[in-house]
Amino acid sequence: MTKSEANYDVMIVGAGVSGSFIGWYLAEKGVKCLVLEAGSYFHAGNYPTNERDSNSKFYWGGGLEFNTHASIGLLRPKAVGGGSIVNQALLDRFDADALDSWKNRSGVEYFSQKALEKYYDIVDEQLVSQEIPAKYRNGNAEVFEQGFKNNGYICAPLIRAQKDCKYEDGNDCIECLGGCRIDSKQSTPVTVLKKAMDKNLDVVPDFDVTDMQVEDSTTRVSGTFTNGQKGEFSARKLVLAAGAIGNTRLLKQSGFRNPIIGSGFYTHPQHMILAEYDREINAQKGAFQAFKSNDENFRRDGFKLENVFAAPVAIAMLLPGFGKKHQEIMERYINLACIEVAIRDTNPGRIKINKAGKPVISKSLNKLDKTRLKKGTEAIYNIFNSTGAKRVIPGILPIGLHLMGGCAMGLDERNSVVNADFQMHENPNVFIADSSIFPDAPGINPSMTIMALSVKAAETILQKL
Amino acid sequence: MGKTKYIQLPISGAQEPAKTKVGEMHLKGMYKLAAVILPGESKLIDFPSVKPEEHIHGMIDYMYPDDRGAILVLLKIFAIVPKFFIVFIMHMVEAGAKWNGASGSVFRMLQVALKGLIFTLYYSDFTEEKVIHGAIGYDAKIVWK
Ligand SMILES: Cc1cc2nc3c(=O)[nH]c(=O)nc-3n(C[C@H](O)[C@H](O)[C@H](O)COP(=O)(O)OP(=O)(O)OC[C@H]3O[C@@H](n4cnc5c(N)ncnc54)[C@H](O)[C@@H]3O)c2cc1C
Repeated sequence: MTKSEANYDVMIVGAGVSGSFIGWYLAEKGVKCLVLEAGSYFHAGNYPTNERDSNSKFYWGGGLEFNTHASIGLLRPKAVGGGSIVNQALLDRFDADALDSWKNRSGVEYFSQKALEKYYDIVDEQLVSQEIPAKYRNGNAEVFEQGFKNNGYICAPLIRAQKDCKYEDGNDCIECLGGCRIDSKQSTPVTVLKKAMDKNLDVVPDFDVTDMQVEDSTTRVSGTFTNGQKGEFSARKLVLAAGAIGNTRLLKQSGFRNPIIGSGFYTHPQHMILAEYDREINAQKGAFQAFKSNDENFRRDGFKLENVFAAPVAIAMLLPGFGKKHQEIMERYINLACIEVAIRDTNPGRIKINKAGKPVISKSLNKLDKTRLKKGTEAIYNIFNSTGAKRVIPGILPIGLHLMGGCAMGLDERNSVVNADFQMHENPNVFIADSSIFPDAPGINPSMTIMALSVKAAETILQKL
Repeated sequence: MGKTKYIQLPISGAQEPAKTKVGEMHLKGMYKLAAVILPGESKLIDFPSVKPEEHIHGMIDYMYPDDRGAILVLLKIFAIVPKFFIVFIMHMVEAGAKWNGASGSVFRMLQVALKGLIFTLYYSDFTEEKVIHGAIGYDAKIVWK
């Protein structure tokens, strides 16, 4: 049994986006922090160099998890750095529409652009971000931009948390979905987590927290290392930053009773739609994502489009069929373009946990969500058809990778889990500020807002220590 | 990260999960399944050339135990049934996966499990010369200078 001897002020479960930012802010202020992470610690020198390993080592369940109908594949990161290791690092501040919806639903006053601006600015200071340079856009971006023009749609270049991708050396950012081997992507282990670890923060990787006991002056958690060894750690205060599914699992396993825990789960379901061209597209090259839709009509209609692509295993999984025909399309890999539609889902899902501790997730699209998907899909067909696509091939596996909700924030304890000070209604000694507190789906890339709210939460935690 | 501070643990490498027992029958079933999903007969090399038996652990050891258990049972079944039966199952899986709601869920899971196993071991391309990636034109790289 491994036991912590050190006397920690704050213990954080989950070294992902939120856990890293909370840990950084507190460590900077001299608070002694311990971060426990179920995933492993990887860095530029040992990131996987094949798709099998990036899937199995960086995601829960060895790659994909599913909703109960297996109609949405869920990608849930598992690593020191969490989603910031595997994500595309696209940064967006929320618009007034997203925050107004949150304010109405939760009653929390600071859900406004003005009130959050200060926190977004703090985040900006910690990360280098750049507009994807036009010079290194690939054929897939050209299809996207041209198709938008042809159809009178409006798009905008993406902003990505990256320092220097050295495209001129021939680097292709698609490889960084398995961790950025040149430390350009601003994953937390090379930004805030690194700074915190140089100060007052310790990280324990490969440790899956399975139970917690929270009292006024001490919190104890127990769990299991990947190698089967048991462990126990304690601190004065506890922060849960294990993500929407992780927090729900831990709270339910530890006997928390609020029936709202696990409800209000959203994923921005994404459908990747491919198209085959006679010409080479080379969607895997350079800055493989460059544009997003920036169209008021799309926003009103509840979807967004981005040009996107994936490495061979993922593309093979998206293509229908098997056998010779499937192989023939794979041989045309460089002639494929791809656009994703992500919908702002309105039908909340529910996360339950079975006896083996595995998440069981009910999540489906309602009529409105399906209409949103249909409109987004139509726009993609228009783009492909107006740019000379030979045929359009809808991907067969919708994906959820913005996993949000389950511990929604709100003033009313009858329909929320944490209060405006990021404390659980059921036990104010537990703080939560990650993607699980989202009151609904914003329809916008979430990570920058998770970072901003985590900084705000850390400010509050500091006052309450 | 240089002088990182991790308590109690050596951090030289990630901890590996326990190794799954994969027997001859499982491998036989996997080869038969692959012959249906990736029959070769094209400019792509055949599945056995990637030596999948050497790479399967890096995948299935990381799965949830019940998912892994189900795949191993299926592979054992594939080892003993005739090839046309596997073809039939795959056609059923592809068709059933299109059904909405609960009725299609088993087929969608099977689709991901079976195609996922074969495509992962194949298109991850464990060949030294990267001949599979070469054949499909996947040339993405990160250059160290
Ligand atoms: C492929 C991909 C691309 C994406 N691209 C973008 C993008 O471009 N822009 C954007 O804004 N968002 C993107 N996202 C989403 C974004 O990464 C997530 O929204 C974000 O990481 C969520 O932050 P979090 O702190 O809530 O959780 P995470 O970052 O997921 O961190 C949670 C951590 O907690 C750990 N954990 C869970 N349970 C336990 C436990 N019991 N014990 C110990 N540790 C535990 C997990 O292993 C994980 O590391 C992407 C996601 C994926 C998968």
